[in-house]
Amino acid sequence: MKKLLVSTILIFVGLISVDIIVGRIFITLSNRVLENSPASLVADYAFKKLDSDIVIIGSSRGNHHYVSSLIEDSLNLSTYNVSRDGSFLFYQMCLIDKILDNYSPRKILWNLEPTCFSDLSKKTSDLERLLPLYGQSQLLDSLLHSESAMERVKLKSSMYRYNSLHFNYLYRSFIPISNKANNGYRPIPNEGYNFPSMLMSDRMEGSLNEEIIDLFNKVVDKCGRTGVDLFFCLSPHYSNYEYKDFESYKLLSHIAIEKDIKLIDFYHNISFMQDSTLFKDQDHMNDKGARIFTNEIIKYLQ
Amino acid sequence: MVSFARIIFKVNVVEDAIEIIRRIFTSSGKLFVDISTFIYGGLALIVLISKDFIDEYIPSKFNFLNNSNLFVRCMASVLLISFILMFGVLNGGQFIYFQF
Repeated sequence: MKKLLVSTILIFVGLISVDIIVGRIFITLSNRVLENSPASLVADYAFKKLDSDIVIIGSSRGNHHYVSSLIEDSLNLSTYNVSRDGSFLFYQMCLIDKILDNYSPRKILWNLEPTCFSDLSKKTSDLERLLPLYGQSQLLDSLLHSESAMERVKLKSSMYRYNSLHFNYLYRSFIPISNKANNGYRPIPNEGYNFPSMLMSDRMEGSLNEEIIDLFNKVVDKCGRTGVDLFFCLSPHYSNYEYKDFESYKLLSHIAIEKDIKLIDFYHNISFMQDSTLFKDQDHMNDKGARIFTNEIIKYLQ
Repeated sequence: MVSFARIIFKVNVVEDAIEIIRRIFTSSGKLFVDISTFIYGGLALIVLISKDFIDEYIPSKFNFLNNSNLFVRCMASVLLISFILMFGVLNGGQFIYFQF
């Protein structure tokens, strides 16, 4: 019995010690990456360091479609693109909420999709990407806690929060990617692939998700309260299905009208739909398309 | 075959799987190499091969989990648990059958 008790205490103390050491190492590495290569830790950057006048946020389509430096040069306002591949509405709402806690940007360009309120399955993966930032945002913490009854306990562990991120942090702390990233914008090359054919089939839309809609409204209201000029943007998509019939799109339009927010809709804009060489695939424009699109967006921002 | 089967396991609808498979043969591009996955895979292989090597050739050495010293046994457990927490698949999103 005594041996069992001693073993338990030893293992418990050992685990806590290792956890504290791992946590400290990661905080040091993350600070180093933020100094050398902010574009590779974009969520950390948005949470801790971002102070740009204009903030662009979205998923991969946001990341590859808005040339931050073009906007910055045209409007003479500092601009940063905090969009990230494969990171959807829950991720974006957490980032905007935290940015507004830190300061009030002059403008936020939020790249959204016509099905944005219908997909709950992305919640887990969106929040997983923000695990290292647990404890720094009330909204993020409450969303993480709602994931499971044991989540509060699991989140106490640094080893759990930084699970499988070791290599990324180590690699990026020594090999920065800041030269490749242009204020967060990541261009897609204009050649080296077959240009896409137009997507003709209908895209599926699930049922509207009340949790997303409720949170979305709260974040939009927070933008209004802090005096941020918010824009909902739909960047071009190389397809021809009836996206305006989607319930999410109708709701987005309704929210935009109700809250007096500009909805900039280029989703099936004819000048983009006529030229497949502006696209890498149906979802993503290449650098050539992104520059044309960004110049169009700038007209709305002036 | 496992990688190919994952296409079907991970998609939301069959149409997406067909589109992905179509693009494998029609879209050109660079080789997709996720270096961190290779490194974690390499690390796991080293652990596996080391375990087999020790069991085969020097089974009496490196017997940490059954060591006569209580402290060594406990620290071996701590290392194992830490390894699982740091490198294990802990969330549904990483799990191959997540869509089910």
